[in-house]
Amino acid sequence: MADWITFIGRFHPLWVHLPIGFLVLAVLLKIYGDWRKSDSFREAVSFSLLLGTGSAAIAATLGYLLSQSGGYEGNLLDIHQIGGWVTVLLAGLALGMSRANRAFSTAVQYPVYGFLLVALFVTGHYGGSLTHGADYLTAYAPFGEKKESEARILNSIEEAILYTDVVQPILKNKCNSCHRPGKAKGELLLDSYESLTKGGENGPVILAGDAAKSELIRRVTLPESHKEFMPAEGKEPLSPEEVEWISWWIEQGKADPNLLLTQSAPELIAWAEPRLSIRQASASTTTSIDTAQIGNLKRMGFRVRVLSQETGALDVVLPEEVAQGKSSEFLKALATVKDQIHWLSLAQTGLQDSDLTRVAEFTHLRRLRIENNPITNQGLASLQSLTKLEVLNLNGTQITAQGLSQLASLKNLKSLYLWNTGIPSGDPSLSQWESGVVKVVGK
Amino acid sequence: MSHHHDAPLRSTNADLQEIEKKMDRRRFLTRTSLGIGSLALGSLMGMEKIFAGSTPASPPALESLPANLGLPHFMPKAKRIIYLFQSGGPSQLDLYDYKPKLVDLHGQELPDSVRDGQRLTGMSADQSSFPMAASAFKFQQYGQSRAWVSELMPKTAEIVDELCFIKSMQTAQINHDPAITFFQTGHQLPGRPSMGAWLSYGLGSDNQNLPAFIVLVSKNAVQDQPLYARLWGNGFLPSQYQGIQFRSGKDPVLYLGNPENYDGKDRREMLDYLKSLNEVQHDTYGDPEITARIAQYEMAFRMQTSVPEVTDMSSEPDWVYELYGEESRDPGTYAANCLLARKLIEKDVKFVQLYHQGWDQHGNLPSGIRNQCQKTDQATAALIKDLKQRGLLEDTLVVWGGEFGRTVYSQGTLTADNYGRDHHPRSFTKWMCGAGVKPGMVYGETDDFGYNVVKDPVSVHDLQATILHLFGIDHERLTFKHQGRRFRLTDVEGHVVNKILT
Repeated sequence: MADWITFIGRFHPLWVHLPIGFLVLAVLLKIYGDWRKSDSFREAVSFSLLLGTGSAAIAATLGYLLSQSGGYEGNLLDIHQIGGWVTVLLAGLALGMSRANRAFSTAVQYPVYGFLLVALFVTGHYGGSLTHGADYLTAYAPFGEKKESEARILNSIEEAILYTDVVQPILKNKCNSCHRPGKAKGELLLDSYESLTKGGENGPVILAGDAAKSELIRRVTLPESHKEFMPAEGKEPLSPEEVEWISWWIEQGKADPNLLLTQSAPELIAWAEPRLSIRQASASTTTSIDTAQIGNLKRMGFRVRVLSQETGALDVVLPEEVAQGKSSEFLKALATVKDQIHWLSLAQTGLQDSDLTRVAEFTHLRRLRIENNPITNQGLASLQSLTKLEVLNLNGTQITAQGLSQLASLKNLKSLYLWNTGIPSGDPSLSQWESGVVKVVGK
Repeated sequence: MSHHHDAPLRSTNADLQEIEKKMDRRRFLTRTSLGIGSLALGSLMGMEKIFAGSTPASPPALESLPANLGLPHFMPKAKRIIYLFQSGGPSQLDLYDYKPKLVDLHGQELPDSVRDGQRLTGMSADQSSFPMAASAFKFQQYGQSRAWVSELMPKTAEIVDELCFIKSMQTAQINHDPAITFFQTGHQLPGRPSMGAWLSYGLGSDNQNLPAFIVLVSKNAVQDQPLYARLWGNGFLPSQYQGIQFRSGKDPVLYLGNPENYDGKDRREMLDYLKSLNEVQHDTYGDPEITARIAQYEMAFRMQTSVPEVTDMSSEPDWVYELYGEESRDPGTYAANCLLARKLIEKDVKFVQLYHQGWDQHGNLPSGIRNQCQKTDQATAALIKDLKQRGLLEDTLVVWGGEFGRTVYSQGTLTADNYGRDHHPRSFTKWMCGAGVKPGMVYGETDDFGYNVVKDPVSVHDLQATILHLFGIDHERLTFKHQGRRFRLTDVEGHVVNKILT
């Protein structure tokens, strides 16, 4: 029986649009008829009001049935429900006056029509708030104060909090349409840590330290066809990764709301990082891609590739057959995009020590290939400014072990290539980098 | 011969002239829809300069695509890929997926509960018995990662700390051609673009003088199963994105050389004239394939110099040939192709696809697979070592593997020292290495029979999504609209295997 009530009740959102149309039409016809001083509209007004009153009564009944299925916030629901019945009454009143053959003057009729419209709009608005959320209408309004943007903007990944920046956004995205203030299906809210720990009508939904026993995890990992599977009603399910990370937070993270993301599993960090809004170093966010500039470089013979449309990061290669030993002239042309170059290859281009002072200005470099050039320790000193460097290829250069000590400032270095340089693999100068750094030496 | 074409070029084809006359009354439509449409397409394909066509002296540079397609979607890890495709279905059970319990189970029937009613190929479905065959080869653990490798791959064993083994690959296909087509195009039926074509289309070419996608097929393999050029085809993408096959011998690319007594200047003049003719055609019909054709002629012209250069092996020192194996001195062998792949990568070719056939050991597996490994093991390992020391493994991805695995039960009679294995799609091993992939890792697990995946299955679409991810591409966003539908390499599936990424 309860299922039947819910089934019929769910026709309410569909049906409500009918009385709105009829009643607004009736008011418009009334105004138009009176303005044209034409009697021929009276029948039409009456008929529209009849349809409007009838359909409004049906809509209100369906709404009542729907409200029996529960899960709607009491306050909003009460206003909507009362508004609905008031609308039915006012529509009926207007209908009665309209059919009473001019017994009522315009001065009496118009206020009724006015109240009818107001009741209609108020009821409709609260109905919308119930279904879509109280801020649905105003969230994107061009006026008024904007709410803070959805994702927290972080200065670095170190600031990210596992619950706030990873778990909560997933819940917000996948669960909030039903478990939020105003709708609270199963009396469960998932909009804050407090409500999450409080649980719903069946008790707490998370059990710190035990994901398998947490109702939340159980519900989202059931087979999709299962009656208790969440999100219900064919809404987009959580991805396997999302389930995994929430489980991780509950299990390993002991559901600690203050645990930092960087304290979690490496896979989790890797997954989450691209999804966070991390403020980039100002220099690289503001640079946009100048296609004319890139076109010029390409015409000169550079191979230029955009690495990231967002940051404008570039990968630039100077082919040896283009450079023909004149790399210093080509380097000047790169000055215009020097803050955008993240990867740079000048391999086998006849690069001299003196040219490296120019390379040293490309302070955003992550990967630098300058192998097979007549570079010595002297030139290497210039590279100290490239603190973001992760990969440095010095294969086939004339550097020696002493020269390497000048690179101590390159804290981010992950790979250093010293093949064909005559630096032996056990050289003590290599020990300044942590053991995690890849060092390729000797043949 | 000499031509002067100052007057605007018009077609002398009577039909075409007739059409041009008729065009007048719908000039408006032509200019607004076809005209602007083809211009937009032209700029999409980065060929404004071909359209402008006023400076034929310098070959038009193909501006790379990314700015127009909005690619890459995020910072890439990989810049190039070498895909060592081992065609035929190498036996994971005899190479990498070590199953010690099979020694005791050798000769016993495969339990029905393991096969679980799986449909077999027509080649072994009517066998009355399915005796399990332990590998005839010894396995040992290597490197710091302690990865298991059989004695068949002694050189690969030396580089296991660079590799990421995926032991839980699964495919939906059980026969060669659909399975390879599935791996290379994301669909088992022919007609979709290959992965190389997708990358070429999405990311453009880094080196204007060489194709972005080059295919090398071993000449020294047992060619028991055919490979079709559609495996590196462009499908419904514009045709300049298809793979170009390099052959061994005098002409690495067919029909590229000039005829005798025909010099480069003549060729240039001929191509300029041909191009203006093609532009007339394009103005009339607006078919993007015409611009593709123009681009291909220009690429071919540039390849007349770049291909002989890059395929010239004379500058390679002896120690390189020793590293890759003596066979690498013979162009067209797998070893020589591995070496050529490195040279192409050094020239920033984006996608080098190797094929080595002959891994289809239905019978006499021990001798057959030994032969396969002898031809490929050293060169494969050499390629990884060589890329590593040159620093190229930082941004080059290498993928090794076939279209499916092989069954644990013997196809044909199991004897003391001989067995065969049939096609097995439910579990097999691939490895990846280089740019952005965790080195020294083993991902996924199969059961004690090596029959079913018990942990972390990876589908073909997952692998494709992961490869695209390494190139900075969201596999769900690289699409091409064809016949009213937006297609993508991974169809409607695929999840990036984040756990194997650095």
